Amino acid sequence: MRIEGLTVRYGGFTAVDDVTLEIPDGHAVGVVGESGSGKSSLARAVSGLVPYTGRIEGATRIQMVFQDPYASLDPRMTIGETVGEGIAKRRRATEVPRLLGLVQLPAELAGRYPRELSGGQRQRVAIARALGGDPALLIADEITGSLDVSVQGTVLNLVRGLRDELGLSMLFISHNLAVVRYVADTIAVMHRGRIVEHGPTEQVIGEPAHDYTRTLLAAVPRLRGRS
Amino acid sequence: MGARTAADGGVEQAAGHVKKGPGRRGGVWRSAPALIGGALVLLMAVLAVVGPIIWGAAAERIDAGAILQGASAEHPLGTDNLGRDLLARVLVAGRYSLALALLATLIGATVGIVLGALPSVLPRRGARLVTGAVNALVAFPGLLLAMFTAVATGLGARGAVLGIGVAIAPGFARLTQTLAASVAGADYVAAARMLGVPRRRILARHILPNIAEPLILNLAQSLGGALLGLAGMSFLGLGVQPPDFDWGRLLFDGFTWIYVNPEVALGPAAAVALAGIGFNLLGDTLARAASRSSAGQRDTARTAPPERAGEPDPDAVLEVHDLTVSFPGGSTPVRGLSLSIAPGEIVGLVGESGSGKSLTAAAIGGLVPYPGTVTYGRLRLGGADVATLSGKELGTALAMVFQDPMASLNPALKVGGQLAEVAVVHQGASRADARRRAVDRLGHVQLPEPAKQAAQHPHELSGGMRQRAVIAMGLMGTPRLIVADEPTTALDVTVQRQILRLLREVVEETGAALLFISHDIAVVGELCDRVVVMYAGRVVEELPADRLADDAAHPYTRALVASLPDLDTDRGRPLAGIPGTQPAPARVGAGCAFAGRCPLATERCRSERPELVVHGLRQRVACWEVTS
Repeated sequence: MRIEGLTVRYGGFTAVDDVTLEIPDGHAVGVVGESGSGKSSLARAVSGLVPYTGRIEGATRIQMVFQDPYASLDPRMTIGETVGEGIAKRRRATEVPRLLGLVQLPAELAGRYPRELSGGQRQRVAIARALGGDPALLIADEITGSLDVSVQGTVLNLVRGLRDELGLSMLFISHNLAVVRYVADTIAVMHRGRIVEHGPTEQVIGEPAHDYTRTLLAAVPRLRGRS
Repeated sequence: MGARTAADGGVEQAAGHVKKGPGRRGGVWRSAPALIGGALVLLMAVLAVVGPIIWGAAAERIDAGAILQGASAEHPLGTDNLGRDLLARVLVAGRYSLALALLATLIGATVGIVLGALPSVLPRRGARLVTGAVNALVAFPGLLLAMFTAVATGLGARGAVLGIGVAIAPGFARLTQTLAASVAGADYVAAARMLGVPRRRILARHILPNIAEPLILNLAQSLGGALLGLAGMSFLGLGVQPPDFDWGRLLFDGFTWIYVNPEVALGPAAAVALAGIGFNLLGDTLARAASRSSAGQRDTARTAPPERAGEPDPDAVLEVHDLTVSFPGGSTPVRGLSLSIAPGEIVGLVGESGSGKSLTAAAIGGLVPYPGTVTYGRLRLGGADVATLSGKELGTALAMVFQDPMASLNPALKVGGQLAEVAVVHQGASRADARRRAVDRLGHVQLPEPAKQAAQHPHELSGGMRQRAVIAMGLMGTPRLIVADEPTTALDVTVQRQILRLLREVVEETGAALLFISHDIAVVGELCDRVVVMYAGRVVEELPADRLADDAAHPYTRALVASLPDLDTDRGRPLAGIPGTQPAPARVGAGCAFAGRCPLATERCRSERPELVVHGLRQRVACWEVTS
């Protein structure tokens, strides 16, 4: 699919400014940028949640996973009801256990409520719900941003595994370059609503072309003495 | 400082300062208003059921010989113009009055909720029309609306009920609309929309269930209002017409004679008042019970257990020994934590959410929220027990920086004024001196154009600037210790880098120590001299930060380091994670808390807790498998 000349305005403020981005089938495109760079607005525009100008071509069946798994699940619905929300009633009984299996959760969780689950489990439920919509493109907006480091790894592994297994195209958004690098095939760097650099992951990380990318890379905290 | 510590150490009273907080808790239903409200409503309900059965005949008995009498033994509230006993009539009228009020409330609530929910399902123009109509109705005085409706639909009980219902509806509509709008913005509604769930269904499955609670609370209070409103309508002659009677009608009839026999009006008036008060108190209680989780912060009990714990360390800026924070119900988020920090040292306290790291910081600053209890063997700041420090001394010796700078800044006041306040309150500086110092400090944290920034409100500053201003606020005094709780978590990486550099400079310049609390082990490893790793309320490892990557010994620390992706992680291999979850603060067992997730765990780990013991140079570890 292809995003062309996409612009999102809130009143007089331009959040996304004439962005053109290609997401080849089965590819994961990472978007990095700081708060206010427009990366979340881009995600919401592609998802159809905010109005935009420009064109989005070939976008069928888009689903999104949100940042905060504590806010993205309805506290009054069971896990089974949440995961089955986008599925026809007669297929729900078979589909819900299959989707929970895909995200490596036991099928027994279907009868529980979100408050009984940990943050990592909730995020898996949110991913299962999105997969229930049979997406051609999965948008992941900062999905490990509210998770602990010890859980982040397992969720990232899951996302990578699902991509390989289901051939999903992905738009993977994060402020954390190390996280994006781990998941994405190509990385787009956003700054003040524009994409300032877009290239293969190793190239963007190894030989950044834009000054802002270099600044971002230099700011990533690293453990001293790590070999 | 050394001298001061030695002097204080000699007279340290370990035997304890007990600042007792209020011990009551969860007493919403036992408070006087709740009991009175509940009793009144119960009384009204019983009266509505049995009133007409018991006193029905007495209320209708006409006695030509006892017309318009005052209070007597036979008629405690007197009689009306047909000689009927007024006490019996008041008791009988309860059912009719309450039934009408209930009906009016239900009509009002139904109409209101439908009007309030309609904009969520109607197309844009229709939604705007409904919203506009509701706005106009809300602006209309309720009683006027009620009277107009009552007159238009015909005098009598039906008109009055419709009138009061119409008067209640706009309030309900507005409440529904506001609540629905906030739920409609939730991520789970966005997710449902993306899955193609129709708007009707979103309303029924997501929005209504999540706003039901406040609506039901409002219902109880509206009932009281409807009762009073209906009594008012009847009193004005717009409501119930003879031969029917409710409390308002009785009041209307009795009012003519109020100068002759005040008691004939007193009875119905008291009944209306009692019922109204009852329903309102009950509604208040329901609302308070629903919001009990967000009970206000109060003074927390802080107790020092009597046992002495060795001699105090004269060189430490902060010395914590055996600190425990617990909450009623068996939850103990911090368990016997010990920690000491030298002047100029930067210590990182790292752990995942729920490890107790933030509560440790709160306990040091005396900020543990009610109803938490803090106990400690020793908690000394700059050589003095924190319990003996006045608020003023604590305020200048300790600076705290939190994740959200807006939590530390008053949005209504200018930045410079807030900083100056610190110097005025804690150091007794004059206003002008305080202002000068504030601008100086703002310059110190490298805020460009400090004089100009001082005259701005917090919202005019960016997130990084605000965090600088909060750090400057801490520097208004002469802090010996800066406690920074996730100060860069809400900031961008490039801004984070600047704030970290600033913190380091501040430490080098002032000689203050820094306790830096973070979930991000990479940030901690980069900034700190020493790292303290917490898990389930306890310290599991302590080591120099530059050895974190290679020499961490505890399986938890090692797993944390391994699960952190960096720019050199092998993309071909799965990332390490830690299976399972940290036990909740109420469910930490007798053994090592990490045993359930640990690849090295043995039977001993599950039953016996390892102490923190020295393991190599400047390193301490609490793990059976590593240390023995």
